[in-house]
Amino acid sequence: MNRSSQAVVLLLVGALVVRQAITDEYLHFVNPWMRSPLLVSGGLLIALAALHAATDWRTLLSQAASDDERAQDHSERGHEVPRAAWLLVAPVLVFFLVAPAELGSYAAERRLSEVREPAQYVAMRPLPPGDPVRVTLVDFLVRSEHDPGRSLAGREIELVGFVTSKDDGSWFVTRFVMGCCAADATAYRVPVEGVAAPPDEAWVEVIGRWDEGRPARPTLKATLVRRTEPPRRPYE
Amino acid sequence: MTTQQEAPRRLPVPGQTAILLAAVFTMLLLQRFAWRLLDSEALRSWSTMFVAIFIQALPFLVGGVLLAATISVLLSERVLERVVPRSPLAAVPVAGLAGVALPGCECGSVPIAGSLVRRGVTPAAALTFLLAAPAINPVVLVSTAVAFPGQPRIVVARFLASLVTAVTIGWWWALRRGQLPVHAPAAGEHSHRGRAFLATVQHDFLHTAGFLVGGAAIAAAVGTFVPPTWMDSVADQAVLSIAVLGLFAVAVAMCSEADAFVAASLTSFSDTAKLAFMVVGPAVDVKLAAMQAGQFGTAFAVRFAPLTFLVALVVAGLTGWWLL
Repeated sequence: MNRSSQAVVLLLVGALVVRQAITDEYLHFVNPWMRSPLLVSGGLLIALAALHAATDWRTLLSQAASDDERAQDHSERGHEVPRAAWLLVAPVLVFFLVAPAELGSYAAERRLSEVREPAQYVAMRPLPPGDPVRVTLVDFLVRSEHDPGRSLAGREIELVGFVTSKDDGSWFVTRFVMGCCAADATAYRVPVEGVAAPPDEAWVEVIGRWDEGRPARPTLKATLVRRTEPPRRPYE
Repeated sequence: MTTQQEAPRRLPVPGQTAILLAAVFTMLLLQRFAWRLLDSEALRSWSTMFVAIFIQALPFLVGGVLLAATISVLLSERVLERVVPRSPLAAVPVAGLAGVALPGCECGSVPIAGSLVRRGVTPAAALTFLLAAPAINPVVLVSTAVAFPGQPRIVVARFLASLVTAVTIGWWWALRRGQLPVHAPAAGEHSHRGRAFLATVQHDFLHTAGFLVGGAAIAAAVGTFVPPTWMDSVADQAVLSIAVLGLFAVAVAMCSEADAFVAASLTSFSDTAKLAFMVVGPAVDVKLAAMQAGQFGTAFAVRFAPLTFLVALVVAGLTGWWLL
């Protein structure tokens, strides 16, 4: 990889990262706190490319003799960059050509998970007052399966997620939970009964009641389903 | 000779860069067309995970490269040489712990180890440093803590297992009085500090980020395409899962600053298997073995890589059994 290609690659990667941080697109991939690290590191890469270009430009302008060039060639030999550096173009290509969005039903099917029992000493807090109360999917699942106080009972619950369905017509409101980045995300889903299934992958708000009779299979008996815009932060 | 030198100067933009720029413009023009063509759920899942691993690791990589360049420009190896004792047996643990103070990724530590030997440090200590520095430096430990929130034991286990691996191999080398043939000549000294700093940053970044992309692509493919039942069937078996993730670490050749995030994403595996992934990865992988062959000769790499792999795997297994 020659010097100007190095600068172009640095610029491309830096621009990609900065663009993500500015447009909230990074939330499809990583946690919200990554915004400033992305801005800073992307900015540094762009600055590095600019400095590099400026140095080369000056060399080009003041190029009096081929001696300079040869000296430069020589000093570069210690800094040869392996072919693997070309792979840096790949994220940029993938980002523009495939336009990755947040993880959807395809990944959800392969990354389904079940909630673990919370530690004994964690006392389940009562749900905030006012119906319907919006809870996260994980909260709903944990409370349903592991809450001796049955805090979900008798409440009107609102869940937000995207639709996944089975061939038999049953459907689920689904949400990914992310630890570090989208690659480690696992999916949780709650079966919804009582209303017709919206199309797969559609984001919905579902309002309904917890099926008290089956705590081991947490189910929402829905009364209302509303299509919504995908949230700014797709992962819980 | 003169005519050959004239030719490239008539084309101010080198061919390589022109092709790169043309490819980028073509890509932007064909973007909408490509969206329709590449509209496959599996591909989009893969690309999301691929971009996610890359984006998550990138700031850590940039931070690591900056820190490494700062230290290698401001703090020469001579400081380290002064600290390292003459006796090989005593020098090995010191070199291992020195890895904490001199952060750098694998690619950086190979040339540093070579220059240490050239400056008279005992080969066993140089090898210990080579194995320890990329595995237990602060940047790696912090990113491990970030990748495994609320699980400080994993960070401790990683530190201990990697240090023990490095020191074990160092002592083994010292007892056998093994040598370390150094072929490569000293890198050209830069007269200007600022320029040396920038050159080091750029070189280290391009060197490692390319390998990071490759690792992220493979890891995302494993996450997307390998059937979860298959992964689970391996993950359930304690010993086999450790060996499989160890081999995986060798194959994907992740940067040590980023591998914790990949390890965390392998959710169906036990913590011990993930530990094996993180202990083996910085010590031995395909790209490291290639670099070592370049620096120290093929004969060395052929012996050193399997030895490191086995020691790292066993130490990680024992540490995981003890701590996790």
